[in-house]
Amino acid sequence: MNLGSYDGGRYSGLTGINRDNVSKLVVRYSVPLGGLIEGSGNFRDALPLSPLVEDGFIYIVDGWGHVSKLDGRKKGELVWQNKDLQTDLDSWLVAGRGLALYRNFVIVAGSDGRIHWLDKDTGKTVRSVQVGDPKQGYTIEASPLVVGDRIIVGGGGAERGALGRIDALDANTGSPLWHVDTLEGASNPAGFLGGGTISQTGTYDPKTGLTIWGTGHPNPRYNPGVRPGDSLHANSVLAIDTETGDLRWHFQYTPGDINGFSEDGTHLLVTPAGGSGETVVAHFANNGYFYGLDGKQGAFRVATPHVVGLEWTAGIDKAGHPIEYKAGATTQAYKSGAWQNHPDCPNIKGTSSFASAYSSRTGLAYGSGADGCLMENIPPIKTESAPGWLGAYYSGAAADMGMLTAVEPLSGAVKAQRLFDFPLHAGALATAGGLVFTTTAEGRLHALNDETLETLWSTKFGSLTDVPPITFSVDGEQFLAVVVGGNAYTGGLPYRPPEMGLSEPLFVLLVLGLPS
Amino acid sequence: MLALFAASPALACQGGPTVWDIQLGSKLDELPGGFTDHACGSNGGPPGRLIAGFGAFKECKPDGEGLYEVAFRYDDEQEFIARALEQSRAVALCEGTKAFGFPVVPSVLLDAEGVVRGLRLSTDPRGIEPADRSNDWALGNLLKRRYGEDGWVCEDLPEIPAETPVARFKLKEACTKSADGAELTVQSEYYHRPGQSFTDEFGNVQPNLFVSQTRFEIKQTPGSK
Repeated sequence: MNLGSYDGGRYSGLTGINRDNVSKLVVRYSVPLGGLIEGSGNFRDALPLSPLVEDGFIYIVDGWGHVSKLDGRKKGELVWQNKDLQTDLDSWLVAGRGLALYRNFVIVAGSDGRIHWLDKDTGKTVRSVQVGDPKQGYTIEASPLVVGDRIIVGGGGAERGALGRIDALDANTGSPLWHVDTLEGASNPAGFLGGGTISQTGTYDPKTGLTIWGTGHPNPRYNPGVRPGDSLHANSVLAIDTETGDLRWHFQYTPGDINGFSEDGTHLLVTPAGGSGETVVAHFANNGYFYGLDGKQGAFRVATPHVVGLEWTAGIDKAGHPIEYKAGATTQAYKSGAWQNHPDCPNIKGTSSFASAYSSRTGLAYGSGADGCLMENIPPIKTESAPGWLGAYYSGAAADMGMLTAVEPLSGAVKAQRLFDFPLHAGALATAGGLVFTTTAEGRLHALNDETLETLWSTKFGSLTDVPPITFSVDGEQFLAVVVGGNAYTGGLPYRPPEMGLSEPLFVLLVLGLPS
Repeated sequence: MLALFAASPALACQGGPTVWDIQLGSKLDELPGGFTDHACGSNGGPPGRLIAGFGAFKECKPDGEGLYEVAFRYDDEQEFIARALEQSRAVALCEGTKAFGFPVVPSVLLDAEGVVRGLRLSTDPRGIEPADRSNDWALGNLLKRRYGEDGWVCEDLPEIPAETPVARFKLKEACTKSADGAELTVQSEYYHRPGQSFTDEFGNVQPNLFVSQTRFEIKQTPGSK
């Protein structure tokens, strides 16, 4: 599944590629996909997706909405490609972060608010179901989540005023089963302005039967004056009974946010060592804190800054609220970064919908993002093509530096942290080989020590990437796959140093492995 | 009059008046101060000749209904400072002349006695990236919800041959509603004009070739207070 497993951990138990041999990784094969076509959803942010691998076959939706099945035993030879689904779509919308698999179907989400069933053997479209109305701004960005015979779909489209919603469909018929509006009722101003939408796939806890989803910012994101109150349940995590659709619990990270936070990123389900303890819902929040919540009831357990130097609040109280929070207030008395010494702290472009990871080997959660709080001693950016480039030294330079943080989720303790020269939107992949993989925007794949986050090996590809790597095995051999592709209109890349200047629209799946 | 939401500003730059602070039926001396760049309106288009303020409205030409349109901007000095300092969050928070996050050209419609008889908002395409402009049609949904989702009567606007959809749907409609002594109109459009497309015949990208806009009017119903 899109996040590797129901717990969202993006963790692989494979050890074939490990600390001892990772420096020997080579590109074993590459598969060029996609192509620029009219109306395909490819103009911006079309890349943060993950392929799926099953029985040696790779299933992938590319930045142009084409769905492909590749044969992992034949160097990615194309088995079929479905180009029909997105040819009439709005090019300004995201083509989708990925796919889901259900029985003999590949489940595809379209930015026009439809879910499609493709025959896994032929690639033919078997069924299409409209979930939400695109004329109301509804789109689907997150991968569908398959739980049993249900397909759970999180709706996006906040920038077009969509009202957040989560739907469950019968996986066999496409019939709607239940529907949850993420924004509380009509008395809530946020309820008509939209927001609370979904951009990252939810998780599922088989022990409780709950599916867990993070919701994004209320609308308008940066003007709290027109949405007084808490804007419940925007910027929240929702726990929904998978069978009934009942909202069992919720937790709102920043009620009545004034800073433009958005909590639609991954919510990891962490089971303490031994497997007998209660599940903890862990989240690297866009507000700069790492949160741990009780997985059964949603009770607050811990919050610690994963970004150093936060100023918007004096801290988090025992209930999990910012200390300044006052229930019933029209506008909360949080500090706004705009007039402080750290204007972009925490980073406005930081951890939002990026995929985080959890390693059961180290017991650490890994969250990617950007700093934004550094004002002094900013490390000089060193690019391969322009070692002396001064782009690092403009006032917002720190805000554009990638950051990866390792946190012990039960205590919230930050165990390691690492800055990168370029934005890190890819999230992380952890493996039992003692490694964490990630990519930075200029197109570099990093293999890191999973305890210290020190670089063990890295390589640079010829184009941009903000795609999380995946790993898989075919016939007992471990591979690593990453999508590389720049896009002239990729909005997530805030600046263009020389190394990023030559990006062109392309989409290539690179599969790495040890020399054969 | 219709209920308007108001709340304490979170930031100094957010404390200024907005178009929603202008009440239908207000007289000139009741209009809020703090706006800038008053200019003769152009039926929702780019502002025309600058005038000294709302009080100079008769320097503009009245429309067919005898109403004088005066466009204005919010005070966006703080936003410009933030842009100069490359402070992303401050730029976003001090959003300039926007309605629900969408850049707009706001204007008031004054009668010959200087009484506010209407308000007009048009999405402002000037100086924004096509990615953001592509969302402008969606402001219409927010405006309709603001005044209550029920009761709107919508009809498609006349189609010009060879217009094509940008997405799977083509949006070119006008919706009207009567509420609380006012007539409301929301016009939303999202499509390609004839000859427009996102890629040319050689596959080159033409990202700016589309129509995406919203136009909103609220006019006091004649005879209402």
